[in-house]
Amino acid sequence: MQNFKVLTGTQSQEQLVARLRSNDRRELNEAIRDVYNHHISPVRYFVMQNGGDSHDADDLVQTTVLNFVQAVRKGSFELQEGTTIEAFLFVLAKNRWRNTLKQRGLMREYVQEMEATGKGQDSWDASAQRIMEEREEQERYIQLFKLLGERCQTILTAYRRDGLSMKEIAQKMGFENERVAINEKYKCLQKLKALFRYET
Amino acid sequence: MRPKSGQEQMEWIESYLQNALSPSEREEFEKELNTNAEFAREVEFMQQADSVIDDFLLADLVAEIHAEKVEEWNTETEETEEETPVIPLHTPNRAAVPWWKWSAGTAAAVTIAFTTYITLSPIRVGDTLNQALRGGEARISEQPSRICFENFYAGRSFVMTQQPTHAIPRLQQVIDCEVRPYFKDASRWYLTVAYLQDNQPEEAESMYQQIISNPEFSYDISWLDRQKISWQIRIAKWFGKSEEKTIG
Repeated sequence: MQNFKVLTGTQSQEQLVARLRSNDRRELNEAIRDVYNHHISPVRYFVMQNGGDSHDADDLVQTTVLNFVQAVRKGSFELQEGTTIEAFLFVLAKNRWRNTLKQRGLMREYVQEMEATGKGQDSWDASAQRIMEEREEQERYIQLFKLLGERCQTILTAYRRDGLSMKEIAQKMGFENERVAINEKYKCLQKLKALFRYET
Repeated sequence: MRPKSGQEQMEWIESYLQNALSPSEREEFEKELNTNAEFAREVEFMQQADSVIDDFLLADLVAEIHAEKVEEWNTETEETEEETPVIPLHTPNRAAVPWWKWSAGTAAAVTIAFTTYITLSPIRVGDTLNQALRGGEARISEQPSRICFENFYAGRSFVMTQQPTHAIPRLQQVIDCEVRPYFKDASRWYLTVAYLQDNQPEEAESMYQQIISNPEFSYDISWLDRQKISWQIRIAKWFGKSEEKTIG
């Protein structure tokens, strides 16, 4: 079994999935780079061979990687024996690309044939579809977060992005002291709450 | 003790979510959470805000890495276009070879041109997914076939991106799959190319022999690609022997 894992690369894939779940931003950064370096090239070529140009391919790569990493971190993706990360990335990309082609009204025959592949039965396709829907929901909330503006974004993300304490955030933002920074953070969260309420 | 102001409440909830409360404070917090619906909604909002901030940061990180990678890919493409207009499957070390070995066929300029062309020009790998789908294989939806299908496309893409070490094990698995001949035969062809890219001309030759000796081979390989592969296998073997002699 161990040899089989080495042969198929499953072992290192398990490690990669574990690193993608890391809360250490540096480790996560390196793990995402590994996805780019070793697992994404089939997606680029798939798009360029099937009605897309290099910009389409690059866009789809970014979306696919983001969807995949989020699915890993939120527990929607589990690596199973005999499957590979790049194969799953490929299914995610294929589903997304199929939607893009439909929206563009292109390659009707191609889309029909794609839909004939395991219609409603393929668990991977279903999983990819679910991940895509989750991602659309997340994207809606990210857009709301962006409406807060750069100042609030910096205050609310500084702790997670750079590990800054409220005192350090106060210094970075030019506030008089830590209490002012906490008060500003509170105001930003109240704005965000109002945006969420407005959305729902 | 339960905080009174909204700001203190925010800090209290943050401490709870970051697991920074003592056991007794935690107990008090959870009691409040279970009995006060408005407070429970506030906690839910803070959890949601945390999750959105995580998503935002992740999207930001992926965008940053992506921008770097796209730049790398574009630079590679430009360099490839400028320096090597055509990427050969096997790049012989021409500097190590005396000129007269290369000019063995100087009798005819056309022969040289053709020989050079089939030596250096890339071999076509893969048709479009659409064409492959017409082979009918992708309609099989059971998991093992799905894995074979994904291995096939991943393997082919690795051949196209000149990553034979990734391509070879995947394509070998496709040959062992319970799939229609079209995909197996296409995989044999891609494997031949992958072996050559990986500087394994004997393996490439053996696979190519299987292809040409099979009258029912179902994957269409053009006459020109057949000439290219058999010539490039010969060249690779010849260079392999030359290198062995040099080392010896």
